[in-house]
Amino acid sequence: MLNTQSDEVLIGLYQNGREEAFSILFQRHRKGIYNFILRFFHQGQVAEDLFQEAFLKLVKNASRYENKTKFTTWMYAIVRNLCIDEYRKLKIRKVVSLEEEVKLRKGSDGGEDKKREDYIADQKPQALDRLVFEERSYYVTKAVEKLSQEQREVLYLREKQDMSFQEIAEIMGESVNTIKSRMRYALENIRKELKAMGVFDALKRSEETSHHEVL
Amino acid sequence: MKCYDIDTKLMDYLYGELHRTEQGIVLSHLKECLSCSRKVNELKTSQKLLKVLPDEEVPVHLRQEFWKKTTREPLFAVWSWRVVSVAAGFVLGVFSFYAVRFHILPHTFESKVETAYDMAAPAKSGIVAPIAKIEKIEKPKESILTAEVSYPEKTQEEYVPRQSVSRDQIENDNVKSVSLGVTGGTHSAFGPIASGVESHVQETQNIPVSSSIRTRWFATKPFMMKEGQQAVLPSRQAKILLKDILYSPCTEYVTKCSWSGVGALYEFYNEATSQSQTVFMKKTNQGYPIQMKLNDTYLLEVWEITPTAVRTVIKTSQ
Repeated sequence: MLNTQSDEVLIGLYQNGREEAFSILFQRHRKGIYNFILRFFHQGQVAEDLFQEAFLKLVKNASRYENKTKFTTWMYAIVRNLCIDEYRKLKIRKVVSLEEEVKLRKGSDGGEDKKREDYIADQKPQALDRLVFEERSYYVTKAVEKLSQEQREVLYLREKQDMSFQEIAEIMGESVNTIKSRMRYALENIRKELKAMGVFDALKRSEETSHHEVL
Repeated sequence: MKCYDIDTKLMDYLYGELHRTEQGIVLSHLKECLSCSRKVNELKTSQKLLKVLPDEEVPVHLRQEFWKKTTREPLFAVWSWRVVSVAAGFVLGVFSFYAVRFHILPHTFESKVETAYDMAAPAKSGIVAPIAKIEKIEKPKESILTAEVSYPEKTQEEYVPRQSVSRDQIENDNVKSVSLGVTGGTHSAFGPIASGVESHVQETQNIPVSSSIRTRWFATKPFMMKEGQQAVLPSRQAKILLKDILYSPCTEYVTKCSWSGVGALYEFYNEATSQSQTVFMKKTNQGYPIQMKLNDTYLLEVWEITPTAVRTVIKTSQ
């Protein structure tokens, strides 16, 4: 069965004319790619437009794929380049510089955050104790949207695609240490954003009650 | 190990990318160092919270539109070419032998077989062959027994080998000629064969092959039909139109789905009776061409369904 073949075998078959092999790759990765683009732009319409373009680009470039690289690394590198081009076109670049990241890091428990937290908590006095799954994912999604585009990319590939730091580094053309550092800032900033929204403690509690994990 | 060293390894630690010994070193440090352990806990909390980050489903219209937009870039299939050219060469040889032996084959058929070899390598012009309309098919003067051979590629398990054709069978059935079809996704070849072909192809290609007598129909060469295209059938008294391609393969059809979710909808119009009928050719998991008798004269076969085109064969009993 084709379905049981690895990505690398399937793209090889497609290069040899087996059209249906690509349909399996499409099925396998469409959700990942769609969500990658969605996280990149967090704009549904852009994601829809780019999704098709991304796959068409993969089809066009399929003959150039060489088996030396893992298929997903090659695939996400192509999709990412497409996203970057689009990003430039849209001029919605929102670079969080290293400086800003450091600033955010230093102010993790700052008074500013506290005030905002209190303000939001006042608006939602009782709801925050028992957050249902949908609410949790809503706030986490909002927090992720606040991250810089580079951090979102790393976070998505690491958390949702379960890629190693090495693979992500290859996709993004950066050093492994840069990727790890972005991931760390992403985790720290998620916490800060959730705190700023005033839901961090409630989320933490609801997470702890659903999973009792020991360090 | 100092706090600074631990700090540089935190991400590897959190995502399980540390070697076991290093993992042990970090763990024992965390047990003793309150500051580092607090830091790790904070990161772990964020990490755990991210588990609820939802993945959106790809909107259905996007999936469908993609296939409609896809046009296949021609790719040069070296391996396929090699197999097909050897097979085609061999088939031509056998053809000549049997043509001489039985003294029966009309010239029209011979030339037809040669053109069929052009179809044997669709990789040359991309998967979608330019031929969509059959202008004319020369009918053979003698009835012809069609045989098909499928050989599974290593990765192509869906093509199930069939029963062999022996020389005895051919002679006892008073068969004048046997035509060979080699199917395999990327390539196809037509030509006459007889017994012995299995072992020969096996020897030259090291691919297990078997063949079986299928039907007494004369076949057109396989051609690609796109949605909305029509083919005029040999007698010009009938047409088929490919109305729609359904392409949403079910990945778990063995256990969950009754079929693969792939099919082609044809309309068959018979000018003699002024009647039309709709035929839905559903892809099964057996790997054989799907076959349907349209009427006493025509038989429709679907060899391969891709998102944009269907490899079709029309057979006639006349």
